[in-house]
Amino acid sequence: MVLLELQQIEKKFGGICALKGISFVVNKNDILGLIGPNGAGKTTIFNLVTRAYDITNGLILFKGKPINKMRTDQIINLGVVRTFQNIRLFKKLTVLDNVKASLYHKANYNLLDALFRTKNYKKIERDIDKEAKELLREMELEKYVGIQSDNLPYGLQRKLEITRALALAPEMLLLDEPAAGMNPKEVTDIIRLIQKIYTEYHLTMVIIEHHMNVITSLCNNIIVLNFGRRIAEGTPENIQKDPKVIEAYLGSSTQKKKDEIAYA
Amino acid sequence: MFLQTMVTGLGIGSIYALMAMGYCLVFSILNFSNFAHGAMIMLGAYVGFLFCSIIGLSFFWSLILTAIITGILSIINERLAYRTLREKSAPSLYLIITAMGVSIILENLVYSTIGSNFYSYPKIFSRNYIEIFSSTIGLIDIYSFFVSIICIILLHLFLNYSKMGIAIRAGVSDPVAASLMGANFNVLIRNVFFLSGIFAGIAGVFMGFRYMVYPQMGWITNKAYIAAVIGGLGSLPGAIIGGLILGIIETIVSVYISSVVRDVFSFSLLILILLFKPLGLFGVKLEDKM
Amino acid sequence: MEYFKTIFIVASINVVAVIGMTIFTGFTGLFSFGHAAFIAIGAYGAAILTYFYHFPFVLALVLGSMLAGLVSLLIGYPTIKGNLGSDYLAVALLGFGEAVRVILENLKITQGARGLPGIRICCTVPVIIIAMIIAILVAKHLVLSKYGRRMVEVREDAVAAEMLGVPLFKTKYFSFFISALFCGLSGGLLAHYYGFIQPAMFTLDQSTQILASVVCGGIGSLTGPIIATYIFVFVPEIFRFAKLWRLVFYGSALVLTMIFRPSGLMGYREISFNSLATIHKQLSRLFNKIVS
Repeated sequence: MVLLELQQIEKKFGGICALKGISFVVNKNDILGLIGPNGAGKTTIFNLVTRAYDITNGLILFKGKPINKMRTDQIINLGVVRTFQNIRLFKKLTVLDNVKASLYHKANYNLLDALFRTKNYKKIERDIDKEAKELLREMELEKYVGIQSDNLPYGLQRKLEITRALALAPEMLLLDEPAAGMNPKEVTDIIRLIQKIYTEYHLTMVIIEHHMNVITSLCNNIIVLNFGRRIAEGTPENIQKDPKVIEAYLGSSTQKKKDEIAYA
Repeated sequence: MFLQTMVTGLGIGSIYALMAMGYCLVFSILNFSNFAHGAMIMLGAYVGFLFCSIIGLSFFWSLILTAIITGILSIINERLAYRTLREKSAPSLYLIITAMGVSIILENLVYSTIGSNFYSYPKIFSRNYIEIFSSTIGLIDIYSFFVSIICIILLHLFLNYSKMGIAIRAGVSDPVAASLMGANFNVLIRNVFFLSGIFAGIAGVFMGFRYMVYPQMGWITNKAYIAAVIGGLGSLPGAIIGGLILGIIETIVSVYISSVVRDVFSFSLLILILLFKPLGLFGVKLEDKM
Repeated sequence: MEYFKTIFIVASINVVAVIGMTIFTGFTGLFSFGHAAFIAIGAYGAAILTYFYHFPFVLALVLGSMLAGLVSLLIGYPTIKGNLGSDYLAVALLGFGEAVRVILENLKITQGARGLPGIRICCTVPVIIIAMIIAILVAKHLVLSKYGRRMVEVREDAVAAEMLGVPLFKTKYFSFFISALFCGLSGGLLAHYYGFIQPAMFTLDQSTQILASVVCGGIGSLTGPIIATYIFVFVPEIFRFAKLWRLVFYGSALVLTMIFRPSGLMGYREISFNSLATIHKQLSRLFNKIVS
């Protein structure tokens, strides 16, 4: 079943064309990898899908419905949620409040409930608190519940950001460089974490990543972008052998450099 | 009558444009509203009065010296109040609050030391008006209009042909990259504040000359902010056009309707512009990089 | 004693406006120097109703504050809609403050700059305390509900908040509306306490005092600004001889707080019985250390 479909996407910033003629589909329970050199337009795709930017041309469909004219919160309601390349937690808020921020999205009490603290309000608030703590326990973050989130170590901040995204109960999760700036041990941890949430929450994912082992061990399909265009698509094995990809990354295609890609 | 109104409007508008440009320069590079700019203009009017009236210098030299002094004051303002915040990369809310605090301090410092008296500049022209096509045209209007044009041209030349000017423009288009320049960035900011102070000083002298000098005259300078928003925050051409439009409309309202409702009109104009062109006439929306 | 009562009442009336401003600036992170205009609208709205139309006091109070809220919706729509950061709103509100003053000085029903004398004096200590308690409770419940949390999220990181489904425009607009309601209420109380209002009472000075209370009391705190309000009303009374320097003091308080302690007196925290207990515990530990 096709979940997300991009048709001939084009995005211009002023006169510069950041993306051109991008089309692809993501099926349910796929994990798609988006790779490419810096400035290839990977994050721009996320920004277009979540409508942080307006699209210049083209169509984005989620479950067959066009979403490129919807507001961000409506897109989230459909089940599309993202994380950020540079972690964007609410730094001054506690770990718990960061997760609750997502859960409040579906809190359905009105202003009067809040002002008069009705039963409905109390019940929903209690549920949210419980749900947030449960989620944190599942993600092994329960020790840090009351800690201000910018005091967490870097790796845990990433984890918290993913937890916060999960709290929105997404069907599709867009992860923007989840392993950026991590050491090899942390990278292994994050791979395990993503695998875990993928199976437990029946997710469909798109991952942008520079660490090739994250991509190769998670994704069943990879799209390579360069200068706003799609230059290759295929399984991890095929992509690693593709001369166009190697050229995009390194400028030429010697065997030594091919190894570097595999290693990177 | 109409010609006279237009010339007066352009005269006032050109001063608004000068004020708005000083405000806009800082906004475009640091991305916060420097509400201390109005207080700088007020100080400029006082300093100009000091040179012109008490020391007795010519109008020209008063203008030049005032511009330099407010330029320096503006640098001091940045150094003392904003730099620490910038270095901590504090949210722009903090900078706005600080700027407004500085403005209140300066205004009331003048109020509690010099007092709330109104002072008027001495006469600098032998005649205040000339007759053209049977309209009386204020010399000060013509004078301020041409001085503003000269300032605008000089700023344009500076920003486009000097090394520092080009660096400032680079900083405007990419503050993040510019901030990576470290020490140099502080020099750049200092120069921007100096420029902004110069514009405040010149505008202040003309304001003082046209109206009078008193502590609350910083309030007239709200027009600078309104003009800049009408033109589109951060856009220099916008500031100029916004200032001129505001000046002309205010003069027309004063002459043909009533000078009392002038400020209500300028505010309504602001709201209307925001309603139909939320970014102002020349504003460009920057899409945040994420 | 009568003197202290007066100061207490004036401070408490300010508290109501400060709470409104706290929601706007302290919790949502937006900036305004024109909220004195909403106090003015509330004051004139309520006073005109009781003075010319003999409305009951409480009804007039509510309607006056609703009027301020309504005006805020009209001003807020064009300025907040663009999601352009708070500068546009700040500038628009500066202009708005001026415009309201000019309008009040030139309307017939407000009797221009001379003002409205002889308004019924209904604002007694119990009335003010009740109004203040209601204001505090409403603000507290709001801040601890999803509405308040969304405001905090917008303040902390608007982009991230939007990506978690927080409607930016609605949240800012609502926060602005609430702040205007509270300021309007404060104005109505003020009018019926002094029995006399004129446009010159609602100037930048007042906006400054309110904002200084919010900022120095602590961004993201309700109790901090309330305490700061009382300090800011009482301290200048002690230094009466330096009356001219009062605003220099407020301005310096703003600048110094931002530079040296941007979290203010109570940033991101609240005074509660729990925290009082913690302070007590720390003090006694300190005391024990000194003794031993």
